[in-house]
Amino acid sequence: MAERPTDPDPTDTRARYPGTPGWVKALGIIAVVVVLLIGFILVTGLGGPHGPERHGARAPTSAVAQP
Amino acid sequence: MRLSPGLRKAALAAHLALSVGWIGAIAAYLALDLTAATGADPQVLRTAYLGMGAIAGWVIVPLAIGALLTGLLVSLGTKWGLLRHWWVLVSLALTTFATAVLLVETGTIAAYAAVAADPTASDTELRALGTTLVHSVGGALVLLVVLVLNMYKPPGLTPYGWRKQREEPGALHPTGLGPRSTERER
Repeated sequence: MAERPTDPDPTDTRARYPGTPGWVKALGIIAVVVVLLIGFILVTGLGGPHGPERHGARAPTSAVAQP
Repeated sequence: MRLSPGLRKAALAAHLALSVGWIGAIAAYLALDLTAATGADPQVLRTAYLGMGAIAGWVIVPLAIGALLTGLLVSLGTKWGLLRHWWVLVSLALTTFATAVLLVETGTIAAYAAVAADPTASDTELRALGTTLVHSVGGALVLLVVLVLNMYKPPGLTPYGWRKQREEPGALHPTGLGPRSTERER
């Protein structure tokens, strides 16, 4: 039966970085997909105009949402 | 920089209150956003947009900035650090992104609220206003991801954290899976 490897010794100069965790890679892939999707929607105009003018809203004239 | 235990707990309490408050405020905002998206009665729309403007400007923005700043303080003031652990780094990136989108979107919300506050605005103008559902639902999802990361603290050191750990032998757990001595710090 193979012996279980021990934890890397931080003082061992040969110790190597264990690598990026899988959950970080998964979140990164999701983030890239979302950014590409948003870019596609903006470039193709599928989402309509972006910003206050998208539905004909006027420029803010009230302090309602200005803290 | 290390915070004293008393200051650390105070900073953490503030950070928790602001962060959870941010999510709660978005939930309240979402209710109004849904009302604006599905409503047709001009009076209801006017009320919903005014409420959205008030909640976004007076509650969500201050909570977001406060949560971001106290998060920086708690990270930098403890052994977790800002750049050592992936869960802290990813939380920071997501919170910064959410705050930036919020600040931009606040302009749109203010414009809608300005139309709603204008007594001369016609019913057609009110019905032509849109919703911010994509941003508010997206923001809520991002904050829930940050919440889960902060609760579970998934293991993993960044290359910087790994290097710093090797420079400080005995300070952290040697597997790169996270600190033993600082588990109770957050």
